[in-house]
Amino acid sequence: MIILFSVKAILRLWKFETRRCLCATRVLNTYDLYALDFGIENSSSSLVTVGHDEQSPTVVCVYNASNASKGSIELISRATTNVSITHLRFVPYDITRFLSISTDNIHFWRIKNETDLQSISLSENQNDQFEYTDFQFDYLSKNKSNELIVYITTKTGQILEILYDERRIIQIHYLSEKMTKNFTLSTLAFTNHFAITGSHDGYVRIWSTDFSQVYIEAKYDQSISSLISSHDQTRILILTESGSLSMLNLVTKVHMNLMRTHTKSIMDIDYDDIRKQMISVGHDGTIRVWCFCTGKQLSEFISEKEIPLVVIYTPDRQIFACGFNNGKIKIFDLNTSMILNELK
Amino acid sequence: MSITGLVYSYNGSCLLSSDEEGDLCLSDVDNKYKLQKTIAKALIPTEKGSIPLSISPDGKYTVYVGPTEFIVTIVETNTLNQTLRIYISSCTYMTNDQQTITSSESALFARFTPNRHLLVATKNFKLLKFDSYSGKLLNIVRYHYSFY
Repeated sequence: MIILFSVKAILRLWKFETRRCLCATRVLNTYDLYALDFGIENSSSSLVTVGHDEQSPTVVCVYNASNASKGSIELISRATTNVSITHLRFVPYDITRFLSISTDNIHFWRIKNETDLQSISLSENQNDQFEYTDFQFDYLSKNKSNELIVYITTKTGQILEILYDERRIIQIHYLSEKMTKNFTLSTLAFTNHFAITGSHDGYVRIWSTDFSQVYIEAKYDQSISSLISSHDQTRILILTESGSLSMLNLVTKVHMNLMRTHTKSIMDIDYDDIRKQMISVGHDGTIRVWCFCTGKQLSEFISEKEIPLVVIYTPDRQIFACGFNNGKIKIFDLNTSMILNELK
Repeated sequence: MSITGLVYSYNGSCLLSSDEEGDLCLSDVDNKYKLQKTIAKALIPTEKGSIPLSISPDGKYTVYVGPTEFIVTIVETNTLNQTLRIYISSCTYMTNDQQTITSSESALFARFTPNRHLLVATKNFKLLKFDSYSGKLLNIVRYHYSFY
């Protein structure tokens, strides 16, 4: 089952196998939703969502999703809070507890008496200089007590290890220092044998679980926005801010690009029937050349300060012209990827 | 100011462009895209996302809605010289069974068809079909909600 959300605060539940929408629910008094997580405990499952209300405090809603496959979810609890939240996740195998973070806070949440939402923040004494970017749960395998650890990534390249039950930092890994350069960690994921970090400069690094050693380092064209490990722990899905979806096989080390997309509205397209290619321009500032036999993206031009709005091939299909929102028209050569001319 | 439309002439020797305010520009491709001619406010200001210029199948002519929303103008792509203006503010069409369909409204955008007819979409959900040589009205297609 997967769940999608939109700016109108509508939750949609989808059946993954059939690609059908099972149900759609409006989240009341919320005008946008921007994070959610699905929790499973035995045969029950819960859903937690975060949005803003009109005055913009954070609204956290918890739903009973046990009957989601029959097309219904039921609101259990709703709380309005001034705590800002960028990421939240259920504690593994516990649908009464979850954790949320934002740049400057970490909150431990629990649902008491089945409906009351309560939260407590991590006491900030030694760690208030950090800016948090993402987190993951993992069980500490080193000691046999099987304690739950929260790993939190920071903007300055550290990973904080927090003992969940005691809500205290037990270790800080300084990854930036190990790589002898500064980078912003944007996300992380775990498998049984590896820790995988994604950073703002587009690097995905596969570490030993104690972060002492890097096994694989891969560079992507844009900031890494999310990493997801497969159930069998052999593959990692890699999402970048430019809208690409790739898969890295940790066993064979084979990398495969699955999809690239515009991340904002597409403004115009033009076809080349002879070479079976297409150019699209989008509000995300990219000009992309596609093969429409394979659906693969062949090349990409990025404009940082202007938005491409219209695109057209020359009749011989060797050159294309692109018009921008600032009144510029640029002429691109497809064979050399050079800008031949710029008119204003 | 945003560029709203781009069209190359049939041999690729000139580029036509339009902007948000409806100005139409002709650039000489072979001469480093030097500006040849500009017609200010030739087009109606375009709605976001609609492409305002359409080129004929042989590439010789370009059509657009303008200078007002009641006029469809055809120009030579290479020179921007006007060849035809169609006033669409009051069109009357007699069907084969002697029914008359009238249309008095404004245009959204105009397109050449492969056989050089001209289709004009109107704000009132109608399609006007013209002969692009003579400007003669060939049909008025009404959009029926009941179809959907």
